[in-house]
Amino acid sequence: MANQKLVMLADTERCVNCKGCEVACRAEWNTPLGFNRNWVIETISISDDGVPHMYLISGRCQHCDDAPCVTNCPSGASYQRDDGVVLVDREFCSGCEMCVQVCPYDARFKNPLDDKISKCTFCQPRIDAGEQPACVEVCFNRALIFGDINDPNSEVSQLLKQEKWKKLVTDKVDTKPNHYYSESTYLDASVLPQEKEPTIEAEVISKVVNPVVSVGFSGMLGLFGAAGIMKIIKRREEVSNDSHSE
Amino acid sequence: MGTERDTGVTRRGFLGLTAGTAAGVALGMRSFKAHAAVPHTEETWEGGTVIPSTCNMCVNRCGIRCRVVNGVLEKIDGDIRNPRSRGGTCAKGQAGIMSVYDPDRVKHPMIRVGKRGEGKWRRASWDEAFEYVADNLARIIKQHGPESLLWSSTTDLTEQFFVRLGIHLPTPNFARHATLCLASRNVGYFATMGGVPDSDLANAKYILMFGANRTESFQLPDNWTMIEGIKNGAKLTVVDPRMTYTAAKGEWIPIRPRTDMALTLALMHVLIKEELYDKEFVATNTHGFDELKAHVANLTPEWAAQETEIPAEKIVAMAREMAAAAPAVVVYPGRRTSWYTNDSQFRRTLPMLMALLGAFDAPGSHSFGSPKARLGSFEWEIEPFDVAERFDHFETRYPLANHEDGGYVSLRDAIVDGTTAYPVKGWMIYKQNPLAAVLDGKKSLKMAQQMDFICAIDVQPSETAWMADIILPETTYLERLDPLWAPSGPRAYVGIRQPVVPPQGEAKPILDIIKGVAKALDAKHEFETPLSQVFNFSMEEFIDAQLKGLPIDRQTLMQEGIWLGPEEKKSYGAYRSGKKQFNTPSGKIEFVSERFRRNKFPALPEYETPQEVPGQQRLVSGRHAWFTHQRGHANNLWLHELYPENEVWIHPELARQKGISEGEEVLVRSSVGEIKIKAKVTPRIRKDTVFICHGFGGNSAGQTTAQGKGGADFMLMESAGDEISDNQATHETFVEVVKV
Amino acid sequence: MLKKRSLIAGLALIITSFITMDIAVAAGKANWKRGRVYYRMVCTVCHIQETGAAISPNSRTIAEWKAYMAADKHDASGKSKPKVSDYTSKAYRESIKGSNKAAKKFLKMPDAALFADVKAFVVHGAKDSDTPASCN
Repeated sequence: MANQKLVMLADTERCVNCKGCEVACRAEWNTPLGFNRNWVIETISISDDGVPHMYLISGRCQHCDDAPCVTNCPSGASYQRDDGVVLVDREFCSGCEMCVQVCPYDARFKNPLDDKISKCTFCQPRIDAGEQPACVEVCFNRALIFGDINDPNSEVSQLLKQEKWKKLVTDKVDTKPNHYYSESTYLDASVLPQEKEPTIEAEVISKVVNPVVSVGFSGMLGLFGAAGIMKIIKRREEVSNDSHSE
Repeated sequence: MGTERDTGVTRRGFLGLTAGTAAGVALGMRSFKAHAAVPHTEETWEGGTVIPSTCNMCVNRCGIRCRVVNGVLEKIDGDIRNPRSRGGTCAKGQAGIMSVYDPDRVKHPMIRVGKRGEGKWRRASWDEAFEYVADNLARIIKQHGPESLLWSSTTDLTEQFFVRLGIHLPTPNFARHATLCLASRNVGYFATMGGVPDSDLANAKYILMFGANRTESFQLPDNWTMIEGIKNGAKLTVVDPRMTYTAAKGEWIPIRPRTDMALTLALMHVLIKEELYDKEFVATNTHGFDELKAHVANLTPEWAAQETEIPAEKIVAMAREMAAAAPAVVVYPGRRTSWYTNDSQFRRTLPMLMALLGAFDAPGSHSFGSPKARLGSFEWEIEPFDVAERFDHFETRYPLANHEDGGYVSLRDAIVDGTTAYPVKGWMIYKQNPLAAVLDGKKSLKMAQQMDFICAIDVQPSETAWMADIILPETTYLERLDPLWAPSGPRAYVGIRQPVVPPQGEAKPILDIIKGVAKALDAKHEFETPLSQVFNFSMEEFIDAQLKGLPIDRQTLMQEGIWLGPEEKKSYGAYRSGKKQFNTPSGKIEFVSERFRRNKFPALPEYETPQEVPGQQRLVSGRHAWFTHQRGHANNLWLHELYPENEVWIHPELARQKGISEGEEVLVRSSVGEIKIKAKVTPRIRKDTVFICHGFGGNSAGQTTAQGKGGADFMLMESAGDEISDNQATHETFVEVVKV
Repeated sequence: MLKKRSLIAGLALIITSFITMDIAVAAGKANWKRGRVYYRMVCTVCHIQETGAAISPNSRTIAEWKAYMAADKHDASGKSKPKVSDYTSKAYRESIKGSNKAAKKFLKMPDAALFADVKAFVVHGAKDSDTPASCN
């Protein structure tokens, strides 16, 4: 896990929307009906000659490097691991759903079974045990590929070199996702990240509370530290004054 | 069940954050980016016990590894060692868990108490159930003879135990699924080249598919070898009135329905006229070229363009591209060929085209003889030979059909129309749902109403089971030990299906059910061989007989889950050189079918222009990868979630004409039925055609998730069958789409 | 002179009765399914052992099978019995009935009837029949 950077590749040319990945995920994580941690979306575009073209696009949390779910989380339950996997610490998750509102990919939801936030974790327990994510493992057509791009010999590294890929970003939204898609995929509004109007609470958390608290912490440390030093100096002065007064 | 953990942490609201600087500091610390040193609580994973087995959500039998935690089946993973499934499982395979835990599942013998089909049942013990079944069977045998029993079932490994009981009664009246599916393909291919060849899709340079929807109707290994072929640069051409996901992976040719033969004959015309065919292959390996040449002389691309609505230049281009790619061309045989009344003849034209291209016995084309492990066979008691003729004269009416399968539509019609050779009073059904599969569902209901006795053996309370007098619950595949099997290629192997969790309720595997019925029947009637003697063995003994000659024992196989044969390198040339012959009367691939000629069918396929019905559209059916036909998958909670209701696909222009908008509920009406169904307005279907996915319109109150969802295609479809194989023809119905 | 005549008459009688028996058998329908069971359980085992593969009905045409069964020549090498009908004979069935279900079940059948069943099976599954059968 040290020095790894884990990414997911979706070869949309290989996907046939059999939804093995969707049900495998549901089975693995007991996702209640009505919710999904991952999905395949079917989009159609009509070319100039009137011929319909179909694209099958696998979606899930994009495990962004610049994740608004992390910066907007009041409790710090949402965090990114060193290897890039974005996770939810369920012990600290309050279920406030601020992350749900700010995710440009609508990848998160509150699980009614425990009132905590649920989302794709790249099957963190499986991958930490040396297995592949469930969605990757079941795919007959090898449409999902997962691995470490810091390892030049990994399958993802090879594929990133050999074929052409792109990410789900727009000129308005780029949260530095770690999920790649075949260059040939036509991306329409239904799959591209949406600009999210953060709620007032989220704005406050991400722009005021978290920075202030972080400033506050170092500030407090600084203050305490400065106060402490001041105290020592003052005390020394006092002592010295006292000693001088005798 | 599950990996839920109660963390015992109380909910914290937004306001709670401002309470207390210390708390605020502690929480604020965590949102610091530089918090790597702070330990997080991550999820853990319980591996559980892993038991290898084999899926049965469809016929492909993918290898699976089942994870059981505290006696509960938590997860099904694929088995990477399986050469055909290579670790894959689809949505259905993953949802196998919910077939075990489906609350609607039949878990106890159920005896009808109200009127047939009313849905009033009482639970019975197995002892009572066996007596009840045996009483009724014995009564019918004594009054009308054992041939008065219709014995129907659908394929898989355990079907043979059910069929064997029928054989020993003895009744000749079997009804298997082949005429609901691929009987016409088999007849066409057997007549032309002696069998259905494998397709080397992964290495093909050009793939021509008629209808076959490998991306949504999985057939191992073709569903993934086709994708590998496309990634390797193969050109895929899909001829289909509907744009399936398969058509979306290549070039979609939206052919006018029922004109496929015009296209294939015209392609042959071009290959012969432009001398692009493989002369050496044709000379060495085919029979009747001169007659074929004369036969297609006037079947030009221009002629075909008028029939098919495919431009003539396109047809010519296709022929030239295929010839350029030959021999690495796949002219795909297909699987479900229950389309039209001329399917057997159309399916002849595919291997004929293949032979002209010389696309056989070379990489990227077709072949016979993929590796296959040789299983021993269990020695059954010898069956009686003094058996009546079938009640429906099937052998005389369809001499080239497979007589052991029966023709479903024609036997159903014979019963309802009263044209049977003798009365058919009883019906035993195993693992089959004909009331939701055979054309003209209303007529099939009449057949059920006419029976004195119906017993259904099933897992789900299907439409057919709901009309029975007694339902006997079988175990699902995840609770059952089955016979072994050894499929052919890419590498020989032997697979096993074994119990992963104990049976739910009182469900029993079929062998135990048959033994119970056999024992009760022996007490009421004397059979040539006592039935209990016929079934006097355990499944373990059956498997041991199959393993004879193989270097593996049952315990090891159950432990490992699979035995792999040696890796074999594919060799080519034995057929091309003429050394190996084909299993046909001439020993060659027959352009002119001597077998057809002898039976007074046209020896060369003859095209006929399809009828149209003004103001109506042809109804076509098909499926998605998320269900298997009418198997109760619509009732599986996880599969239902993916696709709760089907729709009728109509072209935007047709929708505009009728003022129908997307998602609107419409009426679809044919001469035999009417359904209410939502409209899907899409350019993925021709203007003169509508599509309704099979597997919906559930009509069993016992299936609480599926009942009433969507519309049933088979309620609209008129009875029709292929002239030679009696394969039911599901695409011969015209319908009216009515705005409500 | 009398002895020779009665001998000839006796032979003629025997031959005629065989012919009528054959006719009788031909008139009674041969059962290819029964022939299949016998062929599978009695013939195939040795075929595989001796030749490495089963001898499928579809390995010969209808005409070839009819000629083969009429000639009734099985094997001249001496490794196995010289005539096909040796294997359908009651004597043979008697000799293997202890270990062979088919031999035991069909023990009482007349030789000609069982021979006709086996012939019906191979002809029914011949290469150029409507239902060519392999041994798989």
